Amino acid sequence: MTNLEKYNKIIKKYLKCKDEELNDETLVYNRYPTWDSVTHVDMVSELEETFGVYFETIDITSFGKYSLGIEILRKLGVDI
Amino acid sequence: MPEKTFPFSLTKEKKDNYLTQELTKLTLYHREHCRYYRKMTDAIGFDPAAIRHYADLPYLPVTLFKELRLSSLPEEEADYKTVTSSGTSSQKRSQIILDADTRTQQQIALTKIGSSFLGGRRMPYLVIDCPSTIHSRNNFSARTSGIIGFSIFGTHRTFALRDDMSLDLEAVRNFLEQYGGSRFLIFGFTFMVWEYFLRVLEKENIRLDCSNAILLHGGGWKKMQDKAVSKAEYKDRLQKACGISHVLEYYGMAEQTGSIFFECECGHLHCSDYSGILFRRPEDFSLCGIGEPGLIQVMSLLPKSYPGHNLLTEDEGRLLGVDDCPCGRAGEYFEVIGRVRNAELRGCSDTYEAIGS
Repeated sequence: MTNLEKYNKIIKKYLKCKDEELNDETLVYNRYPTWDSVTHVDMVSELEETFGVYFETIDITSFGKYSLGIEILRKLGVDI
Repeated sequence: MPEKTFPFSLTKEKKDNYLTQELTKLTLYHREHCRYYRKMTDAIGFDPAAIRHYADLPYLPVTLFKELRLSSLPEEEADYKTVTSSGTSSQKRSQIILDADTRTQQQIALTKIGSSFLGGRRMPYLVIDCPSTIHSRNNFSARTSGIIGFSIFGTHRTFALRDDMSLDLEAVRNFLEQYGGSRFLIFGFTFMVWEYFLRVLEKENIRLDCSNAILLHGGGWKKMQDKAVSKAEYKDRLQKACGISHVLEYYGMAEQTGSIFFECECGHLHCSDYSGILFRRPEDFSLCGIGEPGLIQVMSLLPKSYPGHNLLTEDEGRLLGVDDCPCGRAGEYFEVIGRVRNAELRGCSDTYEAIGS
């Protein structure tokens, strides 16, 4: 599995969304119905574990859309 | 002295100008978007041209949110959640209408303010509450909102209580075994920490080592005052029971979630760049001088979905100073003295009874 596939799998698991919803128009923090702050923090924990990285609080609040999670992971050194 | 950094960066003159400008904008915005708010501000003869300082702007009594559902969202807007403040079963609760944007702004503000005191590095997070508090995600209480909001500072969220409010000693011991060796965060409402954690440890003579913990608590002293427990005693007994020596308190309310006031290293509550604070004499609502106790008025730049940006509370406090706290943060610093006599009882953690209802 590629890193992007791993990322998408986690997003889908926590947000209970479909493949075609994996985009910035649909997946917006606090807007997409299942993406609330509890789910958010839990999802971040799994991303951290999976990719062996650590999100600072500022990263958590920046992660407001689907693609921003990928950007943060790249910033943290993940090849995705 | 450390550099003045956001969100504690604005010194008096800058902040006066900034708040006057932004709060006037918000006042006009809510007049335009909330019918009730416009009527109320019309009734007191609000005149934007007469505003010289944000202290001249109209404010609402915080209790009004118990009587009225005040919303500045378009009527067809369906995407909102409601947060209810505390209130015992016999009392009405405030209803706060939050859309996605306001919620996001609240979370950002809470994160920026909290990071100034807790650091940017997240810590294992022990919640002195029960798991069921976070089950309802659409209409939640101030308690839920606090637990969720602060969870951004935490990793490995663990609940210390079971749903019947009994201490889950096994969960706590496991947590401490894994994470107790370095810095971790304990969060709970003032009364919950006292009643369902500390008192249980004392009564059952349970030994726990929480010496690496930062205890963050807030939500009201009313019930603690009823028990005649002072802040000093609260801290002292926590230290004795489980070695907690680092205690941080915050002051905030469901009606202005996000822009909360944290206690600094010097024990002073700080007002951030997101908010303003004023103290008014209860007799005539004129402004108090530094050190003079009065009713606390809170202003926040965050509320967009409801007109809660400028509120007079029923809490009594006093301004201790501006821009010169030894901790180095700019802005007002103050203390909360308590609830004004005869004021309706109110305080988030005071009302565990209400949660089950």
